[in-house]
Amino acid sequence: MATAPASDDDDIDQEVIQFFAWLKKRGAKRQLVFCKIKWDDILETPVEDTVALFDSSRIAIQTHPSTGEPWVRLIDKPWADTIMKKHDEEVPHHRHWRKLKK
Amino acid sequence: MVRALQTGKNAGKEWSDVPYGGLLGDTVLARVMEELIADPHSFYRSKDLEELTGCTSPSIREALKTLREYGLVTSSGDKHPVHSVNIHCKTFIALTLLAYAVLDDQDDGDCMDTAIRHYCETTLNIDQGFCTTAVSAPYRISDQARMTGSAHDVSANETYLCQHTLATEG
Repeated sequence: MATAPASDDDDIDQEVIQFFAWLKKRGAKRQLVFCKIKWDDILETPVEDTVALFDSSRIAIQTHPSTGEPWVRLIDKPWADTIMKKHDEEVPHHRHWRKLKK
Repeated sequence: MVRALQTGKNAGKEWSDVPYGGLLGDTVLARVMEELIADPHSFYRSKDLEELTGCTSPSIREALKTLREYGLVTSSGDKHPVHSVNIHCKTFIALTLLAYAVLDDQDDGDCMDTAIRHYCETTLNIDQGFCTTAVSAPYRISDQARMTGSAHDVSANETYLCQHTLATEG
């Protein structure tokens, strides 16, 4: 399995870290439906499963109080910062090119 | 439907999904820009951006044209062009930091400062230990061995350049 549990931050996939970075640069929250459009083809597992690998105090799927739609929220931003720094994802100056979506 | 989902009219700020917290308005250009800045590792086709932003094809093309003119986006291919972010463009760096700044102002966080520190260390090669700001209660630097200048009262928020044991006001 490519994606590691929360306790082992060093083994988190680059794509998962890029997902965190994307989320953080979009206000640390995004509707699940858009996360799936963007990330289901890129991540090893669907967005819901990827989020479930981490403690819910760090990243979680929450329900919008009035619309009831699921949103993905990056909750522990300092934790995400630490991981992103390690992988040069805060202000990327090296690119990890990704193939075009089919 | 996509547009309605994104706007979230009844949602409070906590659940708002307007680009950059609404600072640049809820325009197609802002939406495309936010999407591209958030993931600079991908190649984008117009239809990808249509899906991701909920905007129409002509409006996406117009936004991409504007971003190309600013050097933020490069495109290749005539019939089905593919677009990517120019990560070496300073506007890209500034907009990335803006994204963190907006988040920090909403959540009282520290993401932008962390990113700036990291950027200074890794890209500008500025050693953060070299430049420091006095934040403690006022104190007095006395004349000691290897220190130049006369005694000086130090107040909070004054910036000093520290070179080894030599302290000089910057």
